Formats: sequence, C-alpha cells, structure tokens
Amino acid sequence: MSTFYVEGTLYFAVNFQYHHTFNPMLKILIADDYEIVRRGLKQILLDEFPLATIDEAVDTTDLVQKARSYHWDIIISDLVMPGGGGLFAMKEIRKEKPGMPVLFLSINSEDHYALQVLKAGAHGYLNKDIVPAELGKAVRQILTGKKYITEWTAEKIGHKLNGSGVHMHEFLSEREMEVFRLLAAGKTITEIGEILAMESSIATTYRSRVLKKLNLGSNADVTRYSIEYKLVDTQ
Amino acid sequence: MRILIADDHAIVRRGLKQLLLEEYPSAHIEEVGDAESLINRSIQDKWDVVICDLSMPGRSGLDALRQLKQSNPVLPVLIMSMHPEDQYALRVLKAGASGYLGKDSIHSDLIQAIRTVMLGKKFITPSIAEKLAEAFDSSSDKLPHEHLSDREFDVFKLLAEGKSVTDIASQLSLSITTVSTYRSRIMDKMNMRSNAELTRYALEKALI
Repeated sequence: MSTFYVEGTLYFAVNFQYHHTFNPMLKILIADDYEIVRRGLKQILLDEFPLATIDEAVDTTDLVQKARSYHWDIIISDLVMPGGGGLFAMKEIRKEKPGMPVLFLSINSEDHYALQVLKAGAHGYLNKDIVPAELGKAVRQILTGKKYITEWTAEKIGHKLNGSGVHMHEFLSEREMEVFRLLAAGKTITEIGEILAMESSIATTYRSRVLKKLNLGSNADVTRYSIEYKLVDTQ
Repeated sequence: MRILIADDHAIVRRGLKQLLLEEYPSAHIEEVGDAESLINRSIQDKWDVVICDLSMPGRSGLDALRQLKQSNPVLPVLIMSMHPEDQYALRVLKAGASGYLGKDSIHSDLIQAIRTVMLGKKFITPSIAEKLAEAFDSSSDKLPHEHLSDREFDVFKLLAEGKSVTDIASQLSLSITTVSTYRSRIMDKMNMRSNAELTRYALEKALI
C-alpha cells in the first residue's frame, strides 16, 4: 500500500486486486447455452480467481432460477440463449435482486446490443474476443462497485446514454477516475505521472482512455464535465 | 499425444483444452486462432490430431482442411462448427475431414471422436451416416443448392442473407468480378433470377 498527498488530502493507493483474487467466498454464476463455452469461461475465471465458487446455467430459465435461489457476487452471461436471452434474464433477476451485478459477454454480431444492455442497467459489456485478457479486470472493477466497458464500446455508444440515468463516468476504472480528477483539477501529464507514481507515457494512455470513454476532446472538456456532474470539489 | 486446436474464440479453445487434458493429462496441446497459423504450425511439427473450426476470419476452415490434407494426408482433422449438421457435414467429409462435430455436442463427442480417428477410422455420428446413405442413393434427387460447389454455396448463403456483391468480395477476399461470376453460376444452377428468390429458398430450407 502506498500513500501520497494531493492538495492536502491523504490518498491511499490500495491494491484491491488481492482482496478479490484469493477470496474463497467469491461466488460467480456463468450462463451460456454451449457447454464448451461454459467450460472455457470457467477455466479462465479460475485462473483469475482460483478459490472462487463457479456455477453454471444452461439457458435463460436456468439462469433466472439459479440467480434468484442463491447468493452471487456477479453473474456473467451470454446475451443470446434459448428462453428469452440474457437481457430478459437480467430484468427478471432484478425484480427480486435489484442490485445484482451482471456482466454480459457478446460475439461480434451482437455489438448493436451494447447500448440497450447498458441502458437496462448491466454493469458491464465485453466482447468474447478480448476475453481472457480483459475478463479479470472487468470482474474486479464490477466487484468494487463500478461498471465496466472498453474504450471501444464507449466510442461506439458515444453520448447515447443521455436520459437513461446512466453516466459514462460510471465506466471509469479506479485508475482512470484518479487521472480524470487530476485532469479536471488542471494537472499536466507530468504532474499526474508524479502524483500517481506512473510514467508519463502511462498517464498519457490513461488520459486518452478517459477522453474516449467520456467522449471528450480536451482537458478543458474534462473540467467542464466534472463540474457538470459534481465530481470534483470546486474551490 | 500432440493435439493442435484452431478456433478464433479463445474461450472455446480453452474449453477444448480443458476437455482434452481431463482425458489425456500428459497431452501436448497447442492453440491457434486462424487458418494461416494452423497451416504453418501443422507443417512445423508432428501432430496426432487437428481440431479445426469451420468458420474463422480470413481463410475458411474448409480451405485450411484441403491444404492440410495436401501437405499432411495422414493427419486426422476433426472439423467443428456452430452450423447444424445438414449444411456442411457432407462437404467437410468429402474434403477429407475425419469427422464433423457440432459445437453444441462437442463436449460429449470429442473424446470418442479422437479415439476413433486415432485408430485410423472416421468419426461418423448416426445422423451423418444417414445423410451419407441418402447421398449415395441415386434415385433421390439432389436439392438445387446441393449442386453448388463449396465456394458457390458460401456465396449463395451470403447473397441470401442480403449481402451485396461488394461486401461478399471483401469478406471472402475475392474480386468483385469473381463474386459476380459466382452469382451468375448460382442463378443458373438454382434456376433463379433474383437475390430475393435465393433468400426465399434459403429461408424455406432453413439454410440461413
């Protein structure tokens, strides 16, 4: 754990990764109608969370029933399945468990679902092509109460979440949020790099991700956004 | 036991690997994500069996299969596919595959398929056996789309799905002229005049 000060406030940079990685209480429910896909997904999850309990649902009805009957920390589901599909399942599950985190996995031809799915309140959306690289990150981010999408998906849906009660900054990771706040406060890349103990090139990458996810063009836009959504104290 | 797996979906590859390791814990298993890599890897080393997805980006599994059979005639190749058996099973077997496995049942068929092909036999499910028998029955008429070559069939399906000649050309890495030629041939063989007729036919026969 490292500590640093930003304008008089003490920050803790906690490696919250380990909290989830070796958590034997972690319960994950996965849903896909292909057994071969469920097998692969389960293995990839066990790589990331070796002690997790992972159960499987084979279709929409099975998913809804299992989701309602037991406690789960996260549900990872395919979108298209017999019996109504993942989106329908989420709505049914949420009738009894409104806060249930759901991460959807999609194949390429389903990318038009992204907007619909996120507006309906899904916590994350991930293309199967970038599993396994991103799956661990996505799950961890969602477990810490944030939402997850890639910059690519963010670009695709642009500003279209307006009016849905969902805001693009909900999809920033912890690190992206730290960079966002510092940009909004007027810090330069070099300063951000020093404050967050990262190389300037990495800070630049994060800045680029933040801009893409929030569909913004400049640091000034970031400041404006943060004021609009009351994300940073103005002095 | 040395097994080479080709599928563009990492999750599927992982599922297959786990399935195989359960049965053959000391097997050496490698994975590739496309046809080019498959062909390259297959000639760089010795393998006991190849498991290859039919539809991958770039070159198709069917193309890869033909090339594998040319460079490595004795190596058994199992083709797996999301598609229902009817459409591709016979074509794939004709092209030299040792077996055809649907992705929905592969978890229960794979090990038996491998055992069968390692003995030098072909893995044929009862339903595929029936189709093969029907194909040999000269008194039964072939359906119009069954007269199409593999390539023509690919183009036919895309036309029936509403794709333009330009889109098809780019998807299959062919010239627009070539795709147009295929389209003419398809129309002749199927005795149709418009893409709409192709679509109607394809929907009727549940090909799309």
